[in-house]
Amino acid sequence: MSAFFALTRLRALDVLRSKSSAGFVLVFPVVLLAIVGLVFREGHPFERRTLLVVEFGAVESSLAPLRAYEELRVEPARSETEALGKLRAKMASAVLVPASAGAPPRLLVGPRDRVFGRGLLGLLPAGTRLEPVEAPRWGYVHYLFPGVLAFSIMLSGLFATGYTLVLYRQNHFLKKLATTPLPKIVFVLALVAGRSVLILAQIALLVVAAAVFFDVSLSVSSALGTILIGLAGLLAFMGIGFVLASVIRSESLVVDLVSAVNVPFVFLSEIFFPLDALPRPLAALGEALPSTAMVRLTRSIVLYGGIDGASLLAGLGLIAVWTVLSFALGLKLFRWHE
Amino acid sequence: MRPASRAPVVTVSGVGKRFGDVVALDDVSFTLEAPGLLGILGPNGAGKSTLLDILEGLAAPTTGTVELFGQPIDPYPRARVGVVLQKEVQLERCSTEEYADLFASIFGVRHGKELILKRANLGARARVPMVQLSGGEAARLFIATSLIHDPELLFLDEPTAALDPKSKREVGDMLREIARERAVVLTTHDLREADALCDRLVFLVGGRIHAAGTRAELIAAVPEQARGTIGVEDAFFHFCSVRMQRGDVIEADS
Repeated sequence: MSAFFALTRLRALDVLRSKSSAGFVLVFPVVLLAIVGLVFREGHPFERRTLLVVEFGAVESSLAPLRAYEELRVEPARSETEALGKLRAKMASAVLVPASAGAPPRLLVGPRDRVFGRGLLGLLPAGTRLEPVEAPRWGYVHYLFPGVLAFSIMLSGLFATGYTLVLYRQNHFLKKLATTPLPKIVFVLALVAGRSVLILAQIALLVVAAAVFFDVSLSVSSALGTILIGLAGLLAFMGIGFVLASVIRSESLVVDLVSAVNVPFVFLSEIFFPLDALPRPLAALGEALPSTAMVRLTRSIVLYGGIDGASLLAGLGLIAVWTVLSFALGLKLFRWHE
Repeated sequence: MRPASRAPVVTVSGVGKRFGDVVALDDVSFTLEAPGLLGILGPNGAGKSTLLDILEGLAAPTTGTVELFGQPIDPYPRARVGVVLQKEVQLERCSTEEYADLFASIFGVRHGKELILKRANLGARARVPMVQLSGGEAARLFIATSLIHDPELLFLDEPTAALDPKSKREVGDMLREIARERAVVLTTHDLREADALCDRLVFLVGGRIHAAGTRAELIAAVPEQARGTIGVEDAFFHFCSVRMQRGDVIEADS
């Protein structure tokens, strides 16, 4: 047998003899295809154009003609500021602002949606005025920025506890610590604090890169809000990683599992597109994820001009529930040494 | 100088450990007073590490009891015990002084890092990544770290395994010095090392004690015609190769 053949066989068998590695290489791509098929079974997320309507209740009846068009999604907007934020981030194609103080209704569209606006105008109440608005060239990147931020924090959190703890178990560091009076909680808090420092640097770098390269401008309060939400999300994902590491003993299995867990999180957390583009059960699942709360809260603060207290509490509350439950379960399952 | 205590520091009574159908330890009993160095000798798979895990509070016995300092080990007296594991952690991106500082901090010892480095004679290697230490240097670091809180009892699991002769001698000298003030328990499968180092010996094979006593007692218990010039090695092979087949337990010191 040649050395080449022997090494080739060794490498292939090494993967195939590990159930998780073989699953990741052979089964996971098929599962991924199935997930993608399920997620996009009703078309791609931006197939339907979105019209945001400010003061929706006041003009709802006049929008009846639009219901005949399946390709159009009509959604209420909480405020003109939020609607403009979504328009500039390319999450909406047009914004309808009702008449006020003698001014006629206005249909606001981005620079690349003027033809769409002209067509839409024919279905809206007479007298509606078409107004193209300035939008940044990097609009969709603006939409993606909070998602990329959340995704980085999610990965960092999962690996910070999930991978690190399994590694520490394998290199006997946990067993060594078990021979000392170190309390479990101090060890876990130190892991969290160490990663939090790194995440602060990560957020700062992403914010600077987004501002320098993609014109995403953050006020001081938006930046502080982003940091607060990022750290809250980090805790939730470190908690999930802690649970994984408390039940998994193998380094390769935890890496494969964390990688596999990422996929549904990416599709179901509004990182690339809104949840309402998904089939209802998947959207409901996405609503319950801490990553979705992170993305939505950050997006509201960074792009849509702020967030109301109730939404902030609901989002942070969901993240807190994940954090408390996962750490409680992790601490219950965690053993220094088997 | 720590005052010598005549009460047993370690009392092991009828300890057994099963992993499913596998019997790792069977009715193991011995005591150790301070100061002194007890060697647990046995081949690979004899149950030495399992016994040490139990003594270190890292595993629970299936049967029997362990007392340290005359008390049951729940809660375990971590502040009075030092441990050197068989496979000590090697943190890839951690310097020698950072490792020393970590354990000094855990035990709350001010200037503990300096104490560890001095005791291990590694002052000049403080900033070297610990994975770059030689086997002997690493062994000295682990032993010095395990002493940072001045424990009354020290457990070491095969501390000289895989060391070259010079490093073995250095570590041996270090252990002899430590055992002048403390109770020390070490496991080894190196019969000559045990002969040179230990005050008392326990021969453990197949999870059972086949003989226990001082060096002189064990050698004296070997029939004259079976004695060679090697000492403990003769005693070990006598008790563990010949008499173990009959399942005898020799309490040479009783």
